[in-house]
Amino acid sequence: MIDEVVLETRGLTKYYGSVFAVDHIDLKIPRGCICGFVGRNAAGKTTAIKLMLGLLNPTAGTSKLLGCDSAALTPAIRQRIGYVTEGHRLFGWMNIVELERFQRTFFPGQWDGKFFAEMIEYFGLSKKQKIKHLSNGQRAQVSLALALSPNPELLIMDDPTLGLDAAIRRQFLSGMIEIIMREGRTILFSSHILGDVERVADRIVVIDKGVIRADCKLEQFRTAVKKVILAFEDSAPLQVDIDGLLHCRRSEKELAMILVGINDDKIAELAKSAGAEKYHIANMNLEDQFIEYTAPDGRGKLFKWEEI
Amino acid sequence: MKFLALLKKELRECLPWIVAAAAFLLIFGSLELRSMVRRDVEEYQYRVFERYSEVSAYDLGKYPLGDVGALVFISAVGLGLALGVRQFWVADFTGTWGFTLHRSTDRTRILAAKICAAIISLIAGVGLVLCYLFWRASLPDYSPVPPPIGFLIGGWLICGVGLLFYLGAGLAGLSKARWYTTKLAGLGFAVWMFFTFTQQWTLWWSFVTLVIGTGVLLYLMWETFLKREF
Repeated sequence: MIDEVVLETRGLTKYYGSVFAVDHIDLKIPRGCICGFVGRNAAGKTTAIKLMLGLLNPTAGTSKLLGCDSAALTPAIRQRIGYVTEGHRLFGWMNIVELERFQRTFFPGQWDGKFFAEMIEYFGLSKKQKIKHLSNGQRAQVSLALALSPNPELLIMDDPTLGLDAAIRRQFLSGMIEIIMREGRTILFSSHILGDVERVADRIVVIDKGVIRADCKLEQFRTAVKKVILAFEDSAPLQVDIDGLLHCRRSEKELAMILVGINDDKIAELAKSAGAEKYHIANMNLEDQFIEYTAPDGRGKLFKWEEI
Repeated sequence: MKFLALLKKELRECLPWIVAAAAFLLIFGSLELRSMVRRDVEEYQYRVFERYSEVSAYDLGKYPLGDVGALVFISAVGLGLALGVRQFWVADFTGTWGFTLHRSTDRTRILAAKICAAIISLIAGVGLVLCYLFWRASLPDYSPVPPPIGFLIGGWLICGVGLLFYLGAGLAGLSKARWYTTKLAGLGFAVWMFFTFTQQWTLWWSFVTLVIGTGVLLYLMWETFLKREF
């Protein structure tokens, strides 16, 4: 069952008039995976998630959640999917008790009231508090508790840590880890905070201008995207032409290249053939890698991640 | 249970508007009944009560603001508009559609709960208050001649006009067109049907007008809600 696909899209496309928001997204998220869906602002993350949940109609392509077409998700399937909306939009006039009572009606025999109470207590919230009086961070915590309490098979979260401070984000991620510990649960969460993704995800999907640029295991991405700096005794060559070169920046005696899917031996060969005096591979964290990978001068270059 | 939870939520959201409409009609309606006592009873009887067999929505609405019929019009239309805006415009504005729609029920039930809540709100906020005013007006203190039942039936039909405006406002809220194109078409249709309604000379034709207008708007809202992107 570990290879069972719980979320699948094929050629999922959405145009708003003549402007495309997402373009031919092909994704397969296996069961038990924690997938970070990352992209810059307006990359198409929210649109893609709404398409997957059937809240938007695709211009082309299909999407399936738990084997059911997104455009016709049945109540029974929706009951197995948790969804945390962007901005944690809840009913402001309700207090936490009322909101829980409302929400649990839709998960008969599935709602874990004890877990919900524990989460609320863990976050230091009072059940009598009205949602409209909560801060953004507190609303995020309530959203997470509401989404986790029915113990969903698939949890989809749209930028859940947006606007939260570091401490609240850490608490929020701890809550997420809670569900990760449960066997067979799958999470897809969009974010542009790469530290969060690195902390919890085991798979990464990079979307850029509506196009999927990477879909692989997090470790694959970490090892595949490299920044190599070639130093030359004289002036650096104007350009180098090699497979896997995403983009390069030239200074007088140096050439800084972002390479994808090139192993260290090949890099040594490259340095030698380019006539570099020396080279080194710069350390990059996931955020650096993401920024370089989605830099405007690298757009249009697609890599087949599964083959790396 | 799921429908009841949705209905309860919708009713709670409508509650401030129900109270506002009921309070308006109750206060100004009571004041109007008081002033009725001081009026020329005979003239009033001639204008409304003695023609009870022919009483129409037009009769009830054509008098100045001080008349109870006009007050019922104002409360029903105002409440209908407020409910449409609260249920559809505010949900759009606050971005709660995602949370509302992603749950183990279908859109049909969610919309049905909204419409049922609107009908109950109109009954509670206008219809029941009208019944109370009718009862008060029937007491000998207020009028030597009890008002005819046509007055009450007409008043309830006016509550239906509130539903027309609710559907029109809701449809406008659901429309993604620009405001200067077809966004307000539903509301425009409701206004048109409202004037058609008031121009009918018998309650029966007012009822027919109401059924046609409500039916058209209901069908459009249903189709829009089930297919709309949120």
